[in-house]
Amino acid sequence: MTTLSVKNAGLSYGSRPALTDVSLDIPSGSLVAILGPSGCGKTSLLMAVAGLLSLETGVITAGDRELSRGTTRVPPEQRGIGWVPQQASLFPHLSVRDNIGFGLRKGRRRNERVEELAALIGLTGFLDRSPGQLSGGQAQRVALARALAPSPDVLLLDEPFGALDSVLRHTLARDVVEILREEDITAVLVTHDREEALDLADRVAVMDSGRIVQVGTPVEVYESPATPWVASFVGDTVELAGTWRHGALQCQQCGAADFCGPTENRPGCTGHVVCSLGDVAATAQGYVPEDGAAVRVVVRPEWLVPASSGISATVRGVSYAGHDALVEFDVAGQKDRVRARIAAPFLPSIGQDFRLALRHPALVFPVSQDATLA
Amino acid sequence: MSSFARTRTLTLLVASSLALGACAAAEEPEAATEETVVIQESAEDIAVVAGKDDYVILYSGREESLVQPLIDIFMEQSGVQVDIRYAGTSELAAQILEEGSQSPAAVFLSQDAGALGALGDAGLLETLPAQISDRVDPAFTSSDGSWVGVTGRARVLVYDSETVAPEDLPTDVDGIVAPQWSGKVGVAPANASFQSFVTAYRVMRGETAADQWVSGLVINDPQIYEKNSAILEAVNAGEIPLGLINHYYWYQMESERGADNMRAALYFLPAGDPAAVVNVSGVGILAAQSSDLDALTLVEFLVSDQAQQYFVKTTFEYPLVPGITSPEGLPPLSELASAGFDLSDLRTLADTQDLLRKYGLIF
Amino acid sequence: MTSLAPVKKPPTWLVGLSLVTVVIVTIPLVYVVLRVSEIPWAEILVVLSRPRVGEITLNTVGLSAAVSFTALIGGVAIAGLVTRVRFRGAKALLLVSALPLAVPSYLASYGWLVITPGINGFVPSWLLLSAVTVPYVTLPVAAALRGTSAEGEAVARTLGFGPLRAFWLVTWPQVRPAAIAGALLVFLYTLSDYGLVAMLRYETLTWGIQQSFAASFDRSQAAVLALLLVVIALVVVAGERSARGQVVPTTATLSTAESLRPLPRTLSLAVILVAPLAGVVIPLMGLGIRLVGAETVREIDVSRLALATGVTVGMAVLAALIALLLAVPVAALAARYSGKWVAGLETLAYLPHAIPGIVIGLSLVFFSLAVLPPLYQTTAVLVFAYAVLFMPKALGTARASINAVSPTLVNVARTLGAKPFSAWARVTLPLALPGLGIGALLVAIATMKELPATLLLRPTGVNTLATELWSRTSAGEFGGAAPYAALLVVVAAIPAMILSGVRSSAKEEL
Repeated sequence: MTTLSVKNAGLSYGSRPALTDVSLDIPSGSLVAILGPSGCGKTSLLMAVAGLLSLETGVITAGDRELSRGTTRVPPEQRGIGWVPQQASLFPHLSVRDNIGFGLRKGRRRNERVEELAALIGLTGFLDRSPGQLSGGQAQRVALARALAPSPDVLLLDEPFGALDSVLRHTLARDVVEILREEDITAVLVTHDREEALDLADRVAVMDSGRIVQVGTPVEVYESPATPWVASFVGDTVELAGTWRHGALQCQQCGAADFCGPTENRPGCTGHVVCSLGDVAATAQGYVPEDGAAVRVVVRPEWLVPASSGISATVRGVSYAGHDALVEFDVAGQKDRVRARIAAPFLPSIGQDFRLALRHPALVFPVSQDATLA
Repeated sequence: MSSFARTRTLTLLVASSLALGACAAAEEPEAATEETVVIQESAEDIAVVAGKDDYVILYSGREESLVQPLIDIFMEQSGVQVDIRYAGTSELAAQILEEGSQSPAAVFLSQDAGALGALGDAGLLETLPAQISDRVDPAFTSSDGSWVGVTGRARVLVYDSETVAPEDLPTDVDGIVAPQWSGKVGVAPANASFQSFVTAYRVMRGETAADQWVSGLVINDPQIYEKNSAILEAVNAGEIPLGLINHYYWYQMESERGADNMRAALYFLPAGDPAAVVNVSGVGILAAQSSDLDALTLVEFLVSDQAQQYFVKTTFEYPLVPGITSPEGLPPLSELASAGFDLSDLRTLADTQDLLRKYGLIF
Repeated sequence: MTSLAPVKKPPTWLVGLSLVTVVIVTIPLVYVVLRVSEIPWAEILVVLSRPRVGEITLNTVGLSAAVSFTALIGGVAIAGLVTRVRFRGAKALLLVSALPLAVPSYLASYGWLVITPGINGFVPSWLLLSAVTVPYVTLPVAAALRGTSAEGEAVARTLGFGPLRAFWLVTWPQVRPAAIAGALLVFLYTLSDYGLVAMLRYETLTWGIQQSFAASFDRSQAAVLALLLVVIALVVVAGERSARGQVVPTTATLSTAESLRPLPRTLSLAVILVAPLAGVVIPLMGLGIRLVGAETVREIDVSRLALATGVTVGMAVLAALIALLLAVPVAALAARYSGKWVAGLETLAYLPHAIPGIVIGLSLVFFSLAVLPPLYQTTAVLVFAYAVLFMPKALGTARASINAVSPTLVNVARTLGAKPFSAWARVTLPLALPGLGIGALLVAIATMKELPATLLLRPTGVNTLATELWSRTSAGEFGGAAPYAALLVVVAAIPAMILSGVRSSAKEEL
């Protein structure tokens, strides 16, 4: 059991850089999600780890063993790293049995292992079918079993649930994670689906344009994003302009004292900011703004809750999702619109007046910080 | 999987065909075992000491259905095994030229003299002994003894009997380029027989007249064909009314289609006319195999009375050996023009080709 | 997702194997250059500057271009109609459309001349050659179309595009590589064809080459003309690479023949049947007429017929296998790697296909006598000649079928512990096999029909159906020739029919 480590990996396609100075540690036995939009380089990173691509710069190691250094690399068949590609990619000319057993030597042990895995993925009766006869979910499970068969130390999954419908995706994802935990396999999951990453991973690495922007636990990344872009990618946001004020927020009814203390997932409030939502407690993410400086303020919709002591707002739109609704408000006296997540079934109607308060430190970023990390 | 079942069937097919093909193609000629070999330079000494292994390879530019029965007779009579390679004369000539001294062939039977001339020029033919060369009229054989003529074929006019009356036919070679035949005459200028006809014209009437005739032909929009048989087919189908071919093709077609079905008819121009010149088919011995006595035996056979009569009977060609009756119904050989030059002389041929090239009839 | 990798270098062993192939197939080219070099420059220029040479060169290029064009349009149209219009016997129709492959061009022209004597020149040559070569486009395009769905076209139709335009915008890009590759084969074939154009009296470079042998016994002049053919081929092969385009992978839903009705059914049927009619039915009818009028209908020598058939089939199978062995390394190289050297190797491999059979034959006479005299006039050299001559027919489909195997599959195999060669053998090869099979079948059919090189190189006394046919027709014995002609067409029709049914399974991956 080893820690997989990527240090300063760099890689380009011709003149277009795909990975720039990427460093990531994947602790043994954990599941790390690499989250990012299409084209951010996450698949390239995965393929470099698998040994299917050469790096230009950087090192990839598994424990003491060096897998890639600069342009030299250990070939993929010697790495003991399994790979589940984006679309199952089962060998169409082989049966399910032969697909699963592809990486195993022939023999009785192989048959046993294949049957074992078939049971694990719940497809025991399907061993003699051909890939063309499987549904999307079934194929994905076979692909997983195939990758697991040679008992790899590390498993790489490239958007494995992308082609499935949401219900299936959810159940399959849970099943897969359970299998990985049972077999104690280190896994790297690449996805653009934030909910998937937050739900399944022990650690999330957010990537954009070939760089790792933030690494942390799902809660860390969600509650304490490093940049506004990460914030908006990992969850819904409400963005406002504001002015920074040093010092703790003095208020009686806002309840800031309750949520301003530091927790394991976020530092505590470092000041307060004046914005459309009023004067609210805030955390400046990773820097210290000047008093009176103009700043960007980011809050999440679920941090805005109905409160009699809150600001006045009027409902302008309701986006119903069954379990809750994303409600759009005009803030009284301000030109900003904010959205808040209101739990069902007591949902407001359009035109209704409301009072909202923030129950979480607002996140504050420099105005000049780009969506992509400078 | 269906594609795999198909692959399996294909493999079975492949395997069985392989077996079949391997058996069939394993017919290799037996390796000749030579007993004694002494390379002779002069023709006179050839008979003294030579190899005789009862085996000879013949390259034949004449077709199998004609040659095989004759050679079968030879094989039975002489006990010599003859393996025959059939192909077109010019292709075989090119092959022998390419093979050079490594050619496995001992004897080359050629449809025309030009091919033999080409081989002779390349030094690949062995001079034949006088006893063979002297059998044939010197007008119809090589001037240097490198090959000997076997059969003669007359140049003739073939015409469409349904649309042309015999009275309207040209009475001499110049009549062929008269305006009324514009666009109606079929010729095969690449063919050796046409070229030797033009050469005959040059020899008999002079260069200027020949030049005039060729240019007259070209002005007259001649219909160009690849070979004589194609011209005959065209006349017989009514495509063109007049053509210049060798006489025996007509007889060949008649035996296939029946005399009643022959729309095309032959017309021999009067004696002495260049257009009635006689070409020959001939045979030569390749120098690389000059020590092979069996080759000599074979060539001797081809100019023997027996073989000559065979040709007369089978293809209606002229025998070139005295004492054999010409084919029935044809003008005797003596009445037709002899070329008046060595038919295989490539230098003469080259000049003719320059003339034809000048007017765009060949490259 | 395609694995766009940074530029990869091909493995040395693959390059080595490809080089072996290329060296072997360039033997005829070396011969041609050698013969040309034997004559002084001045003479070469004299030959090239003869106006007739210019004429026949133009004739050659014009005919080849015209035939390729018609074969391309016709092939795509026929393939489109057969796969898109709902016919009850769709499979049978495709089979029928493949049949013109089985008829040698010289037989087709002869048959037509019996029915319509006097036809000659450009137009009949063009039309008849198109009819017999159109399957080279029809078959691969039909196979490619089967792997696509008509959905995209249907969408285009709802957007207001007419059927032709929808096809052009949506489906054509997907079948373009297959179509262009087929058209290339047609072009090269037309360049080298002699029998048909000679009979129809249309003077091309091959006519000139034949005349050089027949009239002046001038192998060097013939070589100059052959070199001209090679140069023309070079230009076109290089052009095909750029016209080929990228293979666009499709997200194919597996349903195919939706009834889109681009043309009314009877008209579609007519279009599909034109080539088989012109290329098979009418020539056979002509032969039949000759047979009826023949007095030399001898008794059929069954053992001789059987022997010739066995030789023909056996050689065809051997030639197909060897051609495939030669083609696969170059195809594998060209399918996965790019670069000037790879392009050069592939181009060289195509060139001998433009050279007429007689020159190929002579080149191998020369080569085998120079290098391995004991092998001269043995089956080995003849099969070798076939493989060299026809390997390009297998090259295009081999390359396309290897290309169609997703690199992802190979990558997965690598991560499962398979070394590169093992991954190739266990994954790429089985999936590319149907496409390789198509190539092998094309080579087999061409071998069965081949004549000039066979006449030159066959062991003395060994005959194929084609040489037996030739020997009788050159003696005017059409009655005796008929059984051989019929059997040749029948035997060659078998692989043609198998061809029409081969389905590329590479498309059906999940």
